[in-house]
Amino acid sequence: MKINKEKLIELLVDKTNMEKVEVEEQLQQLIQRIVDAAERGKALEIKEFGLFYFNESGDLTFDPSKELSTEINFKYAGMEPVELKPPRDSASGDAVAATDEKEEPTSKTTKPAEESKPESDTDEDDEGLDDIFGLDDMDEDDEEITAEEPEEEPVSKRPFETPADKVDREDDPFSGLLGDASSKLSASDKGFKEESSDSDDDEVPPFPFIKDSKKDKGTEEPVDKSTEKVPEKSSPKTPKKSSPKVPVKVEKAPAPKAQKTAKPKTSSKPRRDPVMVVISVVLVFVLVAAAFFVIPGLLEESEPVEAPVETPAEEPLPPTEADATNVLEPVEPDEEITVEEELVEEALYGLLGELVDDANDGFSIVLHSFRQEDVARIKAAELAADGFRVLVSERTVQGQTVWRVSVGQFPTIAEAQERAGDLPSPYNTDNFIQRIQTN
Amino acid sequence: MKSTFIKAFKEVLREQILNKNRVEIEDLGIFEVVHRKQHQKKYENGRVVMIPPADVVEFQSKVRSSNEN
Repeated sequence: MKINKEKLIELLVDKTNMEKVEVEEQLQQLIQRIVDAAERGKALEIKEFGLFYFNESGDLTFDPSKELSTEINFKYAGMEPVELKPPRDSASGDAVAATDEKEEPTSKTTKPAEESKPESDTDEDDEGLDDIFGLDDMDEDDEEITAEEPEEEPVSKRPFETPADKVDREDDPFSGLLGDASSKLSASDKGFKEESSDSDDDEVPPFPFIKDSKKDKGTEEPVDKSTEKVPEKSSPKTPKKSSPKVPVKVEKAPAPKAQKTAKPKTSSKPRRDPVMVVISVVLVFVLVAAAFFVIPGLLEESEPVEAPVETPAEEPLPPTEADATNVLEPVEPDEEITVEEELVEEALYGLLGELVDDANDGFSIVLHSFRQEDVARIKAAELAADGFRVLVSERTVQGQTVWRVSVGQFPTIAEAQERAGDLPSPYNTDNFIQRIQTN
Repeated sequence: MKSTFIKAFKEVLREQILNKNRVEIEDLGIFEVVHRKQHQKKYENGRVVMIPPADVVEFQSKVRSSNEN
């Protein structure tokens, strides 16, 4: 259908309730202003619409704004260029978005392997990547764990940084620790240390054994107890239950110490310092325990994607439409979980809950379109009763005013489309996305 | 020029463009939605990228800069 200037003016009159003459005049002014600005070599921008300017060859050009072009292209939202063949030469770097996306995750996974000092930025990686590269999650977890540790006590690491110094300095850090723990222990420990430093023969062999058995089988009782408790409560109980020498060290090393040994661990084994061995073993268990805490968290993250797909059809919802075998429930858990994950993002945008004014720069899923406002309001109330964020917006379609009932507020069209698929039966296929307009 | 008018103007145009209507404004130009098919883009270095389909706004105008003429 063609809209010529005359028709356009009609539409504008409807929209603005201004007199036709006035609209014509205003339109003429606007056009004049666009051209004038362009003549002056400037671009006139109509916000959320586009940019008018003269291009290099002197033709008036219009660049649609991002909002407009994404809205028009909503059918294909989220489709990215895909690289079919890589460039012949290995000049991989700068090219296209599609490849960039693929490169990111790999680089993330490789970096940690090289450097064990994670900056812990991995947390907030794109969900998409996490979903796709499930295995990488595991790697990242480990990194995160190690990442947490250095944060806790970066300073204490230093004495151990160079393996050569380690032996010499051992006395210092531990004596300090002993002092902290208790005076009695310190006394006994000092005696022990002297032994260890002076006569390696006696002390060294037993501890490596302990270490080995722990690592391999985890059978040694005293050590197990101590390690179990370490994650929960670091200091108090461990020493009593286990033999004097070993436990004392465990106690000293609880949380903070364990991290120090992260690096030295490998180097200490060859030296067979009993202290280091015990600490390293404790560290291993702490890591494992920490992994248990972190991993479930990640599992939760991945669930929301699957959950809504599996669960539909459990609870039919009465209100919406005749055909509807509506399922609101599957969506809700999804929502709740994501809320926990990204408080800011989800609080702002989402399918369910209350409308958020700040989220009105986003997109919404249109489910109904009515000629009459009151009908639209009724339907909106029904949907709101089901827990959706409902918007009613007035639009003019082919000269007729319609009232669109839409649900949800989403930052991107792609996200809106994704969530639209989770909607109950008639809606998940019969909908479209529109940009939210508040005025 | 009233801001309400500009707002109405861009909304009307947006709606019309979204409805795939061709909007012709004399003195300014023609707005039209054009569908771009999916296609392969071949680079000189042998790289081939599949470009997804897209709907885009096209604007044609007879208005030319008077500076150049």
